[in-house]
Amino acid sequence: MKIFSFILAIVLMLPLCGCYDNREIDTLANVLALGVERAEGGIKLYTFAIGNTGGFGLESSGDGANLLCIGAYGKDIAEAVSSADLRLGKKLSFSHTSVVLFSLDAAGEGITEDAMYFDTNHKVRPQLVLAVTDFSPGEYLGKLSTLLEPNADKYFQAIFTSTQSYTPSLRLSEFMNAHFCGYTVTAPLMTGNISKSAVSENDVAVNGAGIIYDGKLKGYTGDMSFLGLFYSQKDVYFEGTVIRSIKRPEVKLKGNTAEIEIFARAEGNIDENSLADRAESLLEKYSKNGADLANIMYFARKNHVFYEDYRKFLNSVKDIKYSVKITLERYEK
Amino acid sequence: MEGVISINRLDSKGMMSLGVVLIISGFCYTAPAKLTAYFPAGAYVWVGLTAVSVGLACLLADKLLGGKSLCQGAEIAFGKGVGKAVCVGFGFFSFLYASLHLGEFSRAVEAFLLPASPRIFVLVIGAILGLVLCIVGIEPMARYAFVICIGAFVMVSVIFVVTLSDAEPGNLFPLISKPSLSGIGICLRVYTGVLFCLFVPGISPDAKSKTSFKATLIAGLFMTLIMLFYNLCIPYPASLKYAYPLHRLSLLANSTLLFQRLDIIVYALWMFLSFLTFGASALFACNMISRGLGLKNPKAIAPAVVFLCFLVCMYNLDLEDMLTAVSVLLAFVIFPVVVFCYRIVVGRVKDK
Repeated sequence: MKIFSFILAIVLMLPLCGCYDNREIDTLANVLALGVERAEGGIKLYTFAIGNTGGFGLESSGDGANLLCIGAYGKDIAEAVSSADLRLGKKLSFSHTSVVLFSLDAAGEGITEDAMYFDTNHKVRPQLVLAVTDFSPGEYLGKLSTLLEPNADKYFQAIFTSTQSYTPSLRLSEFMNAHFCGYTVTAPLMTGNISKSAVSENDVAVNGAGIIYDGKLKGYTGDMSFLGLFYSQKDVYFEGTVIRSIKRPEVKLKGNTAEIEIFARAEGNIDENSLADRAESLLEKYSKNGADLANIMYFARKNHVFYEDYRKFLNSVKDIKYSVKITLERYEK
Repeated sequence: MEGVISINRLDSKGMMSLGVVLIISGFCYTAPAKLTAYFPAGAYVWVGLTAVSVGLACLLADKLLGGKSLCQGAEIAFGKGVGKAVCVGFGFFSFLYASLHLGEFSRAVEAFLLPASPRIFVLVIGAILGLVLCIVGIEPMARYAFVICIGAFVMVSVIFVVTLSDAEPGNLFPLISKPSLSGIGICLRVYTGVLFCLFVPGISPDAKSKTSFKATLIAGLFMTLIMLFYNLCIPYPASLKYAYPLHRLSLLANSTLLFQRLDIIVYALWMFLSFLTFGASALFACNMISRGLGLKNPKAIAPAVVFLCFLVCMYNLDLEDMLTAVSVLLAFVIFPVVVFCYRIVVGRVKDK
């Protein structure tokens, strides 16, 4: 009996060792980055930057040889993927995709459908970064230098974290959570000069934040200092003064007024009251578009012990007013 | 009633490990997602509270039954006929339990690992391995369960540690939601694996002592932690969107040099826990049905039981609601009635 069990176990292991679907690496096209932009006629142009793993008829070294860019039109990503699959004769695989770049107009139209496509594909990592570009992502990916190929993840991380001060980041999982919960998120806004024939990581940078709510880009700002003060404990700059949050802001809701208190350290003299006024006007500006930059709804959860009370609060709350207080602890260098 | 299948050699550690595996294996699939629908951000509290309540109920039942199984208790309290009926009833419950686990496993494998493969392929592998375990017997299974218990704790701890950066305490609020009967039913259903420790006769008295209580508490800790981390990392109502919470947690882990893709941990857990649970519950089903029907060799009906499980899964019958109903019936009606009637009968015999 033992010998029979042993033989059976070994025989059953055999089909498990290989891949029953018989997908070999040269039948797959590994998409390293994806660009999404609006095209004419209510459709979108999807640009797939594919790593050269062989079988594309490209040289494995030399300028521009390690990356193949293929564009496909479609009303949604599934249609574009089918079209690209047919043209390539390979199956697009998103298991190594590091970043999805949306042009401003595509992001304004909505990114939920595309994000949902990736979120429901378990081979895609939820750490996939979503970003907004003020240039054509398709053109940018087409001109990327060969540096991208070995490690696309690190390549884009270097761009997104090129400065010491705060820059926003948006992972796929964060976007999906925010979308389902009705929170506001900020995505890195990439700007730069891509008119050259080959673009390197030094030609583009994150110089702003796209404000995304309800799956759509509601606006963008180049002033990331307040966002940094609110969301991170990194250095931010106000007229040459370095400020850094010490801890997370405290948010209390009193009726329809959100009282936000920020605790920070400042290197040098800066007036807290004028900073607070600026923060209030920034929050109110975006709240008119429906965005909640201070994520009041998230903090409101903590103010409620019973779920039923929280639900009542969500139904009743309208036109939030902001009252910001900044407490600065000064220090000299 | 004794001696149809000898499981006297099963020690306390083995039975407890098997109990833990039988409870937790269901929780690695869709159960946390179902609980989230009823208890938005505080499901972990209910899972923990249920563990303590079920554990105490098991302790009380063990004391009242004085080392006897529920089947033996039913026989003493109501006579041989009822004892046999309880055995057959529990055999049917074990059969449902086995089918549910084979079905959950095949659905998960089909969704994540072999999406292009025919379902029958996964089911055949599961059914054959379950049958082999069923024939091999309970003692090797118990030893295997002990190793898997430790492995499961270690593997899930790795997921917890790596996803810690996604944990947000604010996601645990609002803390309390109104309990619903269906939610509590699912909470109880999760712990029905412990019934195997109480129902199965022929286990040595040493293995009986507090086994079910300890198994419930250990499994409860494991499941409460999974639920807590899921609630911590994914805010409600986003947490409703993922059918396989533990798998989602494993995907959230930031890839580092050491850990590239942690979902393989979940696939391994599914594989080990499901095969063992399927094998053990199918064996219990054979054992109890044989006792009830007076058959001499339970192994003879093992291929038929496994094939029936295979058919139930093949036609994708939804057993979750039925199993929840059976679990609630067992927990609230059969379980207390048998225990208290047994005590009354034993008390009368002593008085005489």
